[in-house]
Amino acid sequence: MEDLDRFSKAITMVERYEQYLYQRAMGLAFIVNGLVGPAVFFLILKAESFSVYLGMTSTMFSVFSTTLLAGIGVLINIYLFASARVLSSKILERKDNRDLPFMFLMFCIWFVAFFLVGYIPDPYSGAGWSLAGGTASLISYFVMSYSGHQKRPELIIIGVINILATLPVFLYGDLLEVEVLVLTIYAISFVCGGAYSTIKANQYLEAS
Amino acid sequence: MADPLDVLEKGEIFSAQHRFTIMFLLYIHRKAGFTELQKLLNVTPGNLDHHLRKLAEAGYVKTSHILDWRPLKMVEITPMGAKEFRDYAIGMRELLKFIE
Repeated sequence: MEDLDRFSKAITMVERYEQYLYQRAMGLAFIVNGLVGPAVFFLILKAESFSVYLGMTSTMFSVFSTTLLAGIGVLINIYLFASARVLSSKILERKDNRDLPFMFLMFCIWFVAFFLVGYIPDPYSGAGWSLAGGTASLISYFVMSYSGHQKRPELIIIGVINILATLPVFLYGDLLEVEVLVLTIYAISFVCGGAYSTIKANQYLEAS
Repeated sequence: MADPLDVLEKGEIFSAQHRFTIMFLLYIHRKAGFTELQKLLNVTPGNLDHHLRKLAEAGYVKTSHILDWRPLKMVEITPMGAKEFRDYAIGMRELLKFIE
């Protein structure tokens, strides 16, 4: 009986550790997303200056830098969630069932949202990143809520902030200042959301 | 046929709750940070160090220092540790079957 109790306590600890890994991966993914978008916009904005150093046309540089940064962002995100999942238990039955199809669905939601940004005309691409991030956050929140997964309030806050942030673009047109403001809000909201998730992850460790 | 009760003697090192939890977690996740383990088990650094030293002396875990955005002490299970813990878990299962 004592041994069963020991097993039970250890399983609870491992489950909490897995919750921590998952929440931390989510927080870090938010921070990466918050930095990649504005970085891409900055490189496109300065494409003419940078392309000279690399001996490319500005269009080539824009495509190259966008592909490179977006690729790095996707790879980091895959790594973060893969390490949280692959390393996680294969023998424990989790309370928060983070199955592979669900994670793939989440990846698709975010990938498609940012992929569509490529079809938005250049002057509005900054607002496009914000709109994509906001929409993906909201869809993720509803998918998570309705599929019985843990609710993440930070997603709905980030989603609403980012969608509202794109409104000035529709009111004032494609002014550079407005685009910069939108992307600044995008970066701040995602980085703050990420920091919140990471701090919350520590609470799983300290929940004894 | 081996005596099912042998498992209790062989796995004496795992009899402490904290050492058992550390090994169970490392068996599943291979490695974990010292600070993470300390928070998770809710023990003092000295207490955790004592348990880790016991496991390290038996050759079941090893610690290493890595440089992240701050220096981190990592605890990793050794192949021998994984094998011994697996044998212990299987032995416990056999023992429970034997008791039933």
